[in-house]
Amino acid sequence: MLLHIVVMLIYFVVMMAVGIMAMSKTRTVEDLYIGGRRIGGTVTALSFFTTYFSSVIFIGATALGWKYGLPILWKDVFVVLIGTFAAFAVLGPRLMLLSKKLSFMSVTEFIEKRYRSRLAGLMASIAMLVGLFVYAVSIVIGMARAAEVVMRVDYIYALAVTTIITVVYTVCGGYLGQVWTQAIQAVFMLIMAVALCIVSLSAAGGLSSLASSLRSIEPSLAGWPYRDCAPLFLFYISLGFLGWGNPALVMRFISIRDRVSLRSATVIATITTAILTLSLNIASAASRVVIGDVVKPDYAFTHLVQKLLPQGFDALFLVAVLSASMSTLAAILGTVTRLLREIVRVGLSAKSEFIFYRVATVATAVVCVAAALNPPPMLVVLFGVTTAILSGVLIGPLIYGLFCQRITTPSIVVAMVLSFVAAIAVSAYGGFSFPWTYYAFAPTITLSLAVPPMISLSTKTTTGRVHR
Amino acid sequence: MLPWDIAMAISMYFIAIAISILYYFLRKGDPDPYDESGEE
Repeated sequence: MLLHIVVMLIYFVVMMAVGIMAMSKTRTVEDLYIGGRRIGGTVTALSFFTTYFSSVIFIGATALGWKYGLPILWKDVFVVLIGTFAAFAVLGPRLMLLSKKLSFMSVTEFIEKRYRSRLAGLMASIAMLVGLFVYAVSIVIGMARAAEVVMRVDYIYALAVTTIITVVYTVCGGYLGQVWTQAIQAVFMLIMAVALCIVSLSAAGGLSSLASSLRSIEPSLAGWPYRDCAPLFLFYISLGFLGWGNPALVMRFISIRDRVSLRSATVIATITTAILTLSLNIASAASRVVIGDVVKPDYAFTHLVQKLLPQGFDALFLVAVLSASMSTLAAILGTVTRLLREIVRVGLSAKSEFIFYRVATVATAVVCVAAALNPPPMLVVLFGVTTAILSGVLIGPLIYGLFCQRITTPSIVVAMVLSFVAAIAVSAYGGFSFPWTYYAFAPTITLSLAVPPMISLSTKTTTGRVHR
Repeated sequence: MLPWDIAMAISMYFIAIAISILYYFLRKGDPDPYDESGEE
């Protein structure tokens, strides 16, 4: 117990120290929101993947791996190929260039400038605020539950401590505080994921032996045909598109220093994401063999760590879980604050901008904590649909904004409204439960991509030009 | 023996890594496709 507390304290002190260090480097509004557009390739890549993965990558993925076995390996193929590599290679270069030319600091600001429409920017901001807020609450809950296990304290104390620490370094260090702490957290998560994969595989007797053991439990755990194939693959693909639609992730392309950094970030992000996800997916599939039956698959990760590692070492793994959540929460808080700043259009002095950033970040965190204390039923049902909203709604406006000048402003506004409504409506049709929350992704992304060209045929092009 | 579909899933991660490295070297020698003089 003492060891757990010492490990946690060291971790918290390091995070706070990095946040305070970043504060001394944060002088302008651009520094505050996008790190002065001078973030290097390695830090961008590490920051990208820690923003992508919250504690779900450890806890939720292990629960899925326990339930579905080796086919879980398909889950992150899409995240690595579409969400990471393709996002960096396709969106990255153009967004980076345009953000410098048009001086925008967020994706929604880009949409507003590109389509010359305050309404388009506002629609995107509102859709993203809804998606990110619900996402943030689910992360706060997951983070507090992980801390509850690590520190063995009540949920409410775990919730307070983890949120306060995250808010302190986000508020002090601004964007630089976010990405520097994320880089440290990323390295820690990677080491722990690889270690967990190695010990799980050796406990299962290697990959081939694992496949045989899983087949003897249930054939679908070891290969084709898979259980729940259609909804799960839709979920996997929607996770892949999170790298294109989640503004907290896309922000990384705006804050990167230059093309050389972007090129190295593409490789580093792809390699680190592949290593992290492959390691954790193998470990999660092995959990069924290593720990046997569990009452609640959600606790499979904790059981796995406690079974395989000597007492004390498990604290390190659970701190990795905490790192995953805190890093994602910090990025979301920063992005939500920026979205709020774009909605609240008042002229502020540089000093007032800093005050706004700090007050808005703290206020957002307080609202998230209040919601996490006793999540309202509506919020709980929305958890499932956030992936569909974040992955689907923004993709059309973003891709057409970057690559197609014939797409008109009305078409983009209509597409955003329709895709957002479709995400909610399809989930509501299925009672906001599995598998309908995953089915919601298909119409959301289809409408986001198909509506703009169709409506643009009959509307006049009045959009702003972008540089080729 | 590992089932073919699982082996394929694992190989996809390594294919992604290989593509990203290839991309790095292919783009390294490219003329800048985002030349600012190419404004419309």
